Order: sequence, then C-alpha cells, then structure tokens
Amino acid sequence: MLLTVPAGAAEVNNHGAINATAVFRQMGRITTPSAGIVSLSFGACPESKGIFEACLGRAADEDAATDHAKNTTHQLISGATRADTLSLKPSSIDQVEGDIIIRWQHGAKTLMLLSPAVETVAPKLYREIVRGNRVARTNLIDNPSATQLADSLRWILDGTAEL
Amino acid sequence: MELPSFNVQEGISNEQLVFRAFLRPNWFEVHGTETKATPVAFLRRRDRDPDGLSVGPTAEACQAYLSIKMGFCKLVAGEIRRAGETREGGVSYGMDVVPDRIDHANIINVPHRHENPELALAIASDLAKIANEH
Repeated sequence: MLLTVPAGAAEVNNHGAINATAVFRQMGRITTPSAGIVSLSFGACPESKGIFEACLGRAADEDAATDHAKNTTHQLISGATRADTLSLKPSSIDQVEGDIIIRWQHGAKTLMLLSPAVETVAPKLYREIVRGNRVARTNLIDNPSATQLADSLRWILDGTAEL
Repeated sequence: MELPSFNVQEGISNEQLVFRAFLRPNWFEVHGTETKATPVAFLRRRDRDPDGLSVGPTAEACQAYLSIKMGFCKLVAGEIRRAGETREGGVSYGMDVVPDRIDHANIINVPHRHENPELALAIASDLAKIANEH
C-alpha cells in the first residue's frame, strides 16, 4: 500500500523502500510541493545512498556537509527504513556549517534530525508541537538510534498531540 | 522622509520592526507570491554571529553591507522578546533586541545549536513563524 498525504506530505510504503521519482532541488535545498505525489524516499535499496547524496545538492563551501554528517544521516535514515519500512518525505534538507538538518513537518508536528559535522558531537532528534502557530512543546533525543528515528517518523503521522 | 534607525542609547521599542537579510538560498521558501523564512535563517553561526543574530532597522540597512541580496524578512521587536511564552510553562526564551549602531542590532540570548540544541531549534522555529506573519 502506498499512502500519500498532501500538504506536509508523507508517504508510507508497506512493501519496503521506494525509489525517488522526482527530486526538487533548489540551490542546495530540497523543498516539497504543497501537495506532492512522490518526491523523495530514503530506503534500503542499493541506490539510496546515491539518492541521498543527490538530495543534498550544492551548498556554500562553509556550509557543505562533512562526510561524517553524511554517513551519520544515511545510517540513521536507512536503518529507520529497514526497521519500519517507512518512507516519509522531508520538508527540507539543509547543510549548515558542515551539519545536516533534515526537517519533517506535518500538521502541528515538526521533527528535525541534526547530524553534526564532527564526531565529537552526537546527532540530535528534535520534536515539536505547535499551537496557534507558536511552539508549544518540544523534546530532544540525544544520539538517537535508527529505531527512535522510525518511531518519530510514525509519531508525525499519528493523531496524538503528545510528544 | 527620514528613514527609521535604531536609537543606541534608548534601545528598541516593542513596536519597532526589525529586518533580517537572507544570506543563503535555504533561508527562505517561496510559496506562490509569498516568501517565507525558514528556521535555518535563525540558527546562530559560530563565526558570523558572535553577539547574536543580526537585524537592521530597514531592509536597505540590513542589506547595505552585503554583496548578495536575496531578500529579507521582518519581525516585531516585542514579539521576539515574548517568544517562548506560548510554550508549556509560559516562560519566554529571554531574547532581546539590542542595537549597537544606528543601522544594526543583535537578537541576543540565542544559543548555538551545539550548545543547547533543543532551545536553539525551538527559537529558530518560532522566529521563522513570527517573521512569516509580517
């Protein structure tokens, strides 16, 4: 089953990973259309690392993701996909001072994965619920596992208002 | 007509608008005719933002020293100061807008994302929302 959710958009493929069919690239940033069909998935398929690299796109030299940030991000996302056969379209993928920041947004919920440029800083998983277009509740998982990322991707789609 | 400027002695009133220039393509998104700031635009950078996030009294002022002009967003100073009050517990983030020149001010008390990632990301997210409402 392939479920496509418009506006904020998520895709769940219960048969495993799906390939990207379109990539919206804008100067180092991936943005998703407000009612996308299929734009991007990170999966366990062999080419997923290549898709991921392509999705990063260009960035200013001082912002370009380090290899460590790329590897950390890919390991977490491909692990999460294997754990839950889940594909969820990011709202944005950014490179900032060597870090990678991936943001998923759907309704009142936002999830951000921060993969630092260097080994001395652990990755972070930030979750947020907004109320009245302002941040109401947040939490942070330090050094998240792939399973925790998969759980958080599921969390974005569920109807609860809990963190 | 005299252009708005900051009063370094008296500070910035809650009603005053401040402007932040977009320095990177990923600092904004274009939705139809609308340009929206992204949270990345409000992440403090290690080298460039030693004192806080730079803002100016006008769009022209905040872009005057930049070679790349990609656009800008605007925020109300009082909303920056009150940001965070909508969180559970109702305590603001403690940010302020402090001028150091007539054409430049810093949004202060913004942590770097590696110092306090939860607070830094919440602030970035809220400032993007505030900026998009004006």
